[in-house]
Amino acid sequence: MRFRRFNELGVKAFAEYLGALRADAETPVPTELLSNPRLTEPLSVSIDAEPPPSFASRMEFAKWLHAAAIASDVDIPRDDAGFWAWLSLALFDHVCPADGKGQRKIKEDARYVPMLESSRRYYRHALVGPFYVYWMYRDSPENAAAVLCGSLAQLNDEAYRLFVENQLVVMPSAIEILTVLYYDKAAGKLKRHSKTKKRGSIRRLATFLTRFARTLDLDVIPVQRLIETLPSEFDRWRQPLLFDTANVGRH
Amino acid sequence: MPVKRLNFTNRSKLTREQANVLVHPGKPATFEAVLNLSHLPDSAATARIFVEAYHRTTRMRFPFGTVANPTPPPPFELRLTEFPDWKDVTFRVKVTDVAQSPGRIIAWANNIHPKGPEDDRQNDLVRWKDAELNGRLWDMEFDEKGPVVLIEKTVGHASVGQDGRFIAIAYPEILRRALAEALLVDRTSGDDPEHWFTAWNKGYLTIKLGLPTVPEDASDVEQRRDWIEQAVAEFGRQFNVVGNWVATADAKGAG
Repeated sequence: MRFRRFNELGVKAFAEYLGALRADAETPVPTELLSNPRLTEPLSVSIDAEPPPSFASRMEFAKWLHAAAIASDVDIPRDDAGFWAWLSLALFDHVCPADGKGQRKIKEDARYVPMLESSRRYYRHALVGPFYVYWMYRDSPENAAAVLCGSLAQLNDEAYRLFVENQLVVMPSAIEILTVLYYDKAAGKLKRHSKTKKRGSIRRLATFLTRFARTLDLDVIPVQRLIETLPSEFDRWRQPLLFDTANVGRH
Repeated sequence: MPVKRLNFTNRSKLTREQANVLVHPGKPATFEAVLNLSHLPDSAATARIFVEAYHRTTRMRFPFGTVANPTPPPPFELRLTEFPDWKDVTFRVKVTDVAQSPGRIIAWANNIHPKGPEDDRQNDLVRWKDAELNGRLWDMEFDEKGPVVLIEKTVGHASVGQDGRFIAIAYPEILRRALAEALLVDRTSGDDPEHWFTAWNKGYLTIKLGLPTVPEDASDVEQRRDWIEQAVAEFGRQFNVVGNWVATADAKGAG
């Protein structure tokens, strides 16, 4: 698949399809739009890549896209909304999969047509947000696993939203703490009960780290020291859980 | 009734006069940080300075030495490679304690929108201009605001001015010619408020380069020439001109 971009007409045609899908959940995906010369144009850079049948996580998607760019010795045009809209349609089975009855559950348009000009909505795009985060941590993406472990088709996890909205996502220490405390490496997902509103939850961590960042330069303090500084409500995450699948068989 | 904002952080806020950023467009754009932290107490001498460029989920962080010994990275390292468009980028300056209470932010400037070339450039030491130079790469002219570096227009000044090789070769000579124009041709004193050299002298040559005062006697050409050569040499040392040349040559060789 050679990547292209939607022009203005292409984005409009894609948005019309989303409207049609909202009215009829079985409306077929208009893949013919992807190569329509009236609606699309070549990218400023040339990138070829075949997507796998499925992406296990946002991390896997971002890795695939990054690898495609590296193989072509170019950068992904990260600020090209037409490209992201085109790629969303090209990967529509990944970002809006059909269920067993052939019906697709459509979300808000910003999940598929990026709103890059909006600082409150750009990251809601199914592909843009994950790739942006991956790009920031591309040298050690495993540190951002807690933010990128979710499915491309879902964007309801608080770790991602809170850390982007509070600008914690650009602080490597904050991201690493999130992953160290809440990411279950063996299961490839966030630990159970981490996404509540209770004490010790990810939501509370975001609150504390945002508060810390007002007075502390998190980059110069070792991550373990920061974790120790957190109040006792985080004790259960600091200690490896007895039945944490990542630790099974270690002792 | 107005709400009074309380600050319990013990973190002082830097004004734009104390911390500001100037961006040089190009692909990639580069920047320079204009820092004046002399007001900070002696206890902050060992605190480290960091300049962060950020936009949404992307951030770049640059160490600028300590309060007592600011050492900006060489210009070729101050490239905003992570950002598609420099106009989106915002900056933050942090002065961070690493001694008494490691990690505590002593002072900061947040949300700095950098100045670009279309902004008021009165504070810039050198202005740049494209020109037809008939085979030469660069030249200089002077007006009442100071020196203007002319760059052959088919090359484009933004990229040439930030090229490590150009910096190594041309910048010391640009400085030498500018100082000669002010001190030997105009025979200015160094504190004439009407002359552009005064801003150079007070804002840069004595503070940044640590030079002694300009020889007062304008008729003593030899003494003033010696002072100019001292300035050029100090410039070369502080901006690691030779090191920049070697690094640029190595980078190009490796590429």
